[in-house]
Amino acid sequence: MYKKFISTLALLFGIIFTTYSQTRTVTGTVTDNAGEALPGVSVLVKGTSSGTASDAKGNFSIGVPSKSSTLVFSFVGMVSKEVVVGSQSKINVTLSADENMLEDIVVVAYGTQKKRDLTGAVASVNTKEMLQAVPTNISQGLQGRLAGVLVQKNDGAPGGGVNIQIRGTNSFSSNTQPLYVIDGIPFTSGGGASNSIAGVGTDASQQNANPLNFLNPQDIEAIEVLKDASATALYGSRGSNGVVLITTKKGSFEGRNIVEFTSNFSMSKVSKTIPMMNAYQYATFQNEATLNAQIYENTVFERLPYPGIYLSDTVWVDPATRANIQSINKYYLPSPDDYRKGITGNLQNNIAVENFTGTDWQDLIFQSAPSQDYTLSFHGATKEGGYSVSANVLNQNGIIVNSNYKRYSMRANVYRTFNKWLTINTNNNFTRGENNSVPTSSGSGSGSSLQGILRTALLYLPTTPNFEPTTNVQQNDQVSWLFANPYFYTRDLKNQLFSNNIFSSSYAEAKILPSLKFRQNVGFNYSGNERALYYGRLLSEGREPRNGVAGNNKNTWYATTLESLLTYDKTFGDHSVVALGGFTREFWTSNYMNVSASQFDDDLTRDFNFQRAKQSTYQIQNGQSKGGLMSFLGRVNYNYKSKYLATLSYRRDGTTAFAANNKWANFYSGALAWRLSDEKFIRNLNFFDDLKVRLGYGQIGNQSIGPYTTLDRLEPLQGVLNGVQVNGFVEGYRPGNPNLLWETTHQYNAGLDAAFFQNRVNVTLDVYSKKTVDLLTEEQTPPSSGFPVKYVNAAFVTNKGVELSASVKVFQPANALQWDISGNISTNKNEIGGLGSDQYASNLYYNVSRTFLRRDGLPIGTIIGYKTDGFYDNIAEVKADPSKANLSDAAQKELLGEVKILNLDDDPTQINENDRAIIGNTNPKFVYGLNNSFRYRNFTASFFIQGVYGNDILNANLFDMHIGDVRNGLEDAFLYRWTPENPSIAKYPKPWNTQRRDRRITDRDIEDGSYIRLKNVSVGYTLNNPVKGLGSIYIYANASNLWTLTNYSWYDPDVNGLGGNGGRSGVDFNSYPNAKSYNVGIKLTL
Amino acid sequence: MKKLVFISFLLGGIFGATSCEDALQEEVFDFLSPSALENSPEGANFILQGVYSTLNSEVFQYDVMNRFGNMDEDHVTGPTWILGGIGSGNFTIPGEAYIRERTWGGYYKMVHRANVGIEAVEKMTFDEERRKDFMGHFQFLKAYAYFKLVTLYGKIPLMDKSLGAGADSQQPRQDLQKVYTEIIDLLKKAEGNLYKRNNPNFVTGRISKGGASALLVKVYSTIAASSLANAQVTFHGGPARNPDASLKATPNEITVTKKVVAGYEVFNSAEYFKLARDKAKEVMQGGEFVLFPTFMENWTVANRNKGEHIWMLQALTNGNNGTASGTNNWYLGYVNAAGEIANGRWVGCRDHWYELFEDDKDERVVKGVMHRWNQWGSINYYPPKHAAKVAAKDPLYGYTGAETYYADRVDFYKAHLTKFGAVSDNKTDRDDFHFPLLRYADIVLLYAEAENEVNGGPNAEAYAALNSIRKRSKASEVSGLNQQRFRSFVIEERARELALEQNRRWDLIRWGIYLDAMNAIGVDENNITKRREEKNLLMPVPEQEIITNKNFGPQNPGW
Repeated sequence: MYKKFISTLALLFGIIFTTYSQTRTVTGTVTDNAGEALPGVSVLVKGTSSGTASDAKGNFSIGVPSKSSTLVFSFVGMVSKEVVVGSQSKINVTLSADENMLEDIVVVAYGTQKKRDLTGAVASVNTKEMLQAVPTNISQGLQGRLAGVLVQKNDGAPGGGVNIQIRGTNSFSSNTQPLYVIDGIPFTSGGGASNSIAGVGTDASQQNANPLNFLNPQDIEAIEVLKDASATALYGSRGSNGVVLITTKKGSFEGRNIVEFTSNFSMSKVSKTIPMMNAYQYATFQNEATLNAQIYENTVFERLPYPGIYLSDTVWVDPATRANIQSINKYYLPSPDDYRKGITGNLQNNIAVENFTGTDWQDLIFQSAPSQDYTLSFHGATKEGGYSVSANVLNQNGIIVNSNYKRYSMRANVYRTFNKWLTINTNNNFTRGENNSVPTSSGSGSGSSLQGILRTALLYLPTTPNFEPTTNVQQNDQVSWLFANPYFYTRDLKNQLFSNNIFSSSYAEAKILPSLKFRQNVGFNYSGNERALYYGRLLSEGREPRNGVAGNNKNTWYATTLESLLTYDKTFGDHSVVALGGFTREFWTSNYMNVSASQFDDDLTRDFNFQRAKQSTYQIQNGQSKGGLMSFLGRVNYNYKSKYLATLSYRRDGTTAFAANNKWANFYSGALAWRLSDEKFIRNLNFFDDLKVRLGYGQIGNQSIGPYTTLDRLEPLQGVLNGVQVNGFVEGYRPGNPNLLWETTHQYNAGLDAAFFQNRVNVTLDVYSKKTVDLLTEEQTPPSSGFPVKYVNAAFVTNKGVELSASVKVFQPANALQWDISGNISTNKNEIGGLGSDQYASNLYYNVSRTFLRRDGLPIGTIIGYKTDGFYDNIAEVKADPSKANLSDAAQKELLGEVKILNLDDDPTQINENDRAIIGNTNPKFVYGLNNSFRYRNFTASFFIQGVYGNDILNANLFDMHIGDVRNGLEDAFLYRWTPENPSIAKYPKPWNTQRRDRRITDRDIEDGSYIRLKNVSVGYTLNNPVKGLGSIYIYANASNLWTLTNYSWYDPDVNGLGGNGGRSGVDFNSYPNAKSYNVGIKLTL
Repeated sequence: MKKLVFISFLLGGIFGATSCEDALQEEVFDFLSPSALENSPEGANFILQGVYSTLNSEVFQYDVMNRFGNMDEDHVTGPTWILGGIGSGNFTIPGEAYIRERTWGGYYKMVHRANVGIEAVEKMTFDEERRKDFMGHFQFLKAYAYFKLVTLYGKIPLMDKSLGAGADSQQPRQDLQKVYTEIIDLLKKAEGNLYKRNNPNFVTGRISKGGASALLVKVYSTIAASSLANAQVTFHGGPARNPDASLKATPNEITVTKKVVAGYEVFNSAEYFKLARDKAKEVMQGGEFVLFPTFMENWTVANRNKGEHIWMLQALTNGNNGTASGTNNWYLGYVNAAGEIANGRWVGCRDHWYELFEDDKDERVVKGVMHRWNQWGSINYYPPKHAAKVAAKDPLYGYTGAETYYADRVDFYKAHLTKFGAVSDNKTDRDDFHFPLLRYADIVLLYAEAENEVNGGPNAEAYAALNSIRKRSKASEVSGLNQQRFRSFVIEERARELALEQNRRWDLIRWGIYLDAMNAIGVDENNITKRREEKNLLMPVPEQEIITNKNFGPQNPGW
């Protein structure tokens, strides 16, 4: 694949070498080992700049000055060959593949470079290996592939978001994601459409869609990750989180048109479920909790919740129709034991059951999910140009019922060269995404609002029989203040996100002089998102008096990029210089509109007919924002014999986001590299095939604040006066701060690239140190000032780390069996400084605040909370605790069997926030990945292991599951509950139906998030020319997430429930679980 | 040549894309800059309405003030999921963090926004009398917010100007004397600036001169009662159940010596009772407000913002979360087309509160309590002691004989107040109940209270004021009480008249009997914990204030 791309480039560059001072002409043909013609091979007269390239049939013709001239034949991915001309007028050359040189040329900021000549830390993804796992989106495919690149899922939902962090967290702000540059055009996105409806107490959930979903991984030719400042500095104010350069496939020069068809079928299922109490355990627990409320709190109950008695009721009324359904004389309230035996009869609310032993709600929401992925592509090229056209259909089902993602995409990449000096290129992609989601992760919500399917599936009463949502909503109402029936929500809630993306990247490149090129890039990026929501009357959000709530939220993002670049590339003897100068402009516009209505006669037309809503007093909300960036950039690369290399670069960025005094900022960088292997004393060792050291320093920025942050703003606030709606104005949530300026990262990088054992072992080692200053922080301010927060530049953060990656070819190239090992490991240490006093990241979620601490000397991602020490086993223990000694006898008695919170401050008489300690750190100590691939004749096989070590996860699910009311709890909370008879086995407090339990984030909610995962195993077989007209068939099977070793108790340790917010990473709260999946597929090449 | 043309065309791209620095100006579309406000009454009104609406959007939204104002007192009851937090003395439970934040932060937003208003109007140049009126509103609203804060939290920071005008955001807590001096000063200024109700420029639904005076009465009464030493108060309360766990039919009479509220020792109680008495008298003679002839006339949609209602929370049916509330839903429940309660009806007054009234006589229970309601497929009744009246189809309550009572359902054992039914549409859970923020009856009773303290016992004016409230509800007039008995009777009369109007907790605290009244109950009939400790006397300040405000000092004791 790489070859195709490279040959195209080689063709382009080949044109540079024009010929002069011709004395005689030599012709010939270049072929590969198989005898196939090799087009685009560069043919150079050694020691001069005169050269040419072979044509489509591998033929070349070149003028040589003398008989002693030597021709150098080189082609990327092939071993170069030198031939002395002598008296020959026809020279036929055969080049053989150089396995070690496949990735010789890499894409860098605003250009390409020989990998050999790199001075910065640039990592290339082996797209071939990555695509073997058939990822549905690129970011997922990147996980574990690169040193220093931490990829975490936000959740496992189809089309769900991914968090990528390069070399640690640089910022307190929400923007810690790298900059994506696709075919040279920076990719920006406005985020998806909101999923909240005005008037329905739903909070916008943290669930986010992955903006890169629109790219079909099969269209990717190459991915480069720029990590250090000297590599990213040309992206100036957006480079500090690293840059991911994505190059899509172009038509490759293979002398013919190629048709490829890839088909993949997969089956996924949840990799694990959480052991909750079954109906018997739950009923026992609830009875005990009620009794304990009487014993410990003096509350009175009329009867146990599970008494095992018959009761009489009057009439049951259908709340939807208000009709009297039936008069029941008797119904049964089961006892715990009944759930073991099976219940047959009438339960409360007129539900008839037969042999009912309880409901496993997790069972009802999970499914085995089939997915299909098809790509059809056509590509080809001639000397003048090439094309690559592809179409993709993806239908990915989620492992939770009613969640799925569909993608339809079309790509056309075309280039053409005119008059030998002008090339135009255009890459265009259109994608339609259709995402059906169920609310899994959730901020909060009061009452039943959107507490998330997972949460309710875990917490919903196992003693309640399941029934179809078409009837009998009374049951749903019983606990609706707390949570909603998960079955109803998976079947009856509509939450669809439609996205239309157009991404277009084009350029015209003109060769002004042989060494001077001008290129004009034009990029368009449009994304339109539309979310359609409907809560029917069977769901608590939509029941009367609202009678159905419909929402339609739209959001569009339109960005234009214009880049004018001038490149000068010249070699003077042993000196070669590449200079780049440019001017760029980017501007974007974003719009949103959210509309909602309610009071429908029925649920039949859902959100498709707002005219049928009888009540539409909900607000229409809309808004528009605009912004832009203007930059000047320059870079000089110099090298002497590829032995001493230097890079200097500069970018000046101006943005709309900052106020007048701080609009512009300058970013400088420089790097040096020294190829030791070209020095005699190393060569004499006869060990290294390549050895290079690199040293770089640079400044890069982050302008990660939203638009308009520097401005004071008066926002309309709806109000009422004497029964009439009147609007007033109030200041916004925070005051404007005109003094805000760019975050700047100063980064040092030292690297070493080495190859030995005939290039069979390649090692890259990088050490870096970064200091990011003037962090843009939403600082908490005293609420008494009228504003709870203010944006300021404050504090700094340092990241220091080591990255090692290595690849090994175990056998000689000639061996029939090939075994390639590639691995990487990296570590990063993050530390905050200059803050002065403690600050906190924004609320963990609704009502749970001050959990993520920011303190000098500690990393971003530090969790503060209470430490615990078992339980209060007897009253003497309570009385002996100075913080409890002054309580009344009754209050002391309540504490029996409750978690004992340690008093850590100087005041022993009370437990308050001063007693908190550092209880967790969500930063991994190291991250690693290891890929093994095997090839034997036409067989291929590989397995990929990936993991993180030493990070903590704040398992907010545990905190939420506080077993103080009707919600279900973990099976362990039943098996290992505190009882006065047997306190020593207790891992969980006593069952206690209460509102009085002291609930705090403690070390009980922190878990080790380390894991090792067999991420992918795959086998494949290629059949060449199986039938006439068919080039090859590649058949494969693979399995993802087959095996994970972890101590983490919840669904998946690879979780980051709060999305891209670097300050609050490593939280698991109702995240969509991980799936195990099995794929089979086929790739046909015509 | 072609090459040259083409290249210059491409190079033109540079200049086409280049424009001057203007391109980096941030273009604003969907909000206003503060400097864009018009120098006119309309411009000032936008800011003023913003401050008034802050009350809806911060302090009352999501029943915030309902919890702080009504859940932490002796007469209220309901389910534990509503009353389990603040209602059970757990002022720091995580689930109610938003209530603490919105109360503290919300009132301070009012202060800040009022400051912005004052600073803006000072610079405006339209008609002076109207400008003064605007100033009066801002001064009143600022004082109101401070008053709520000081009664809930004790010592508080004062914000004399807005951040935009250069205020330091790190303000220390001020002692009570300083806070009250500021509140009284603001209210006196407001009195001088505001229009009276009869002024043609007065805007219905907003505060008037008399309203500022009324708040001043409450301020003086707070200081006076809190600082009064060596006085006794008698109240009715005590355990909800008999020793055998059966429900206790009548409350006990309990007499305690009131405590001086911490921090108020420095005030001269007698002086402030006199100020309260005089100011109340001024309000009563001012003629801006009149008692409605009957109690129930307070609770009609037509009488909103009129007569006895000095100031009400403005609301809109089916408005958004800020402009509508769930008050009717909380206290009475909303009904479906068939008139059956579809949801809500959670919070009510305890049966022992009901027992404070003369049965079958006092309209505040005869009409003020919901006796019959349709829910769960049957018509039900309250209180349970009416079984015989139901059987006899007593017309006073409209009983038909078909009403049922479920002894085993705690939902039944509480009085739901019909005052909360004063909404334009009771079929929605986002109703327009105008919560009374200042009611004239409150001032009349405070007058009676102050007169009794000033004169060492009730005089004729004190009786007249007290009985004016009782007479219109057909309650028996009272006479012949000594100072202690009269004091206690007025406190209890306030509980009867102003039930669930966010006054009871304030009365218990300022009279120094909160702990006595609450701890006498222990746990109520619906398993709501009423036990309280010293720390419950003041609310905990949101932790963010303590962390971020270097000059703030420690948290309130015990939290």
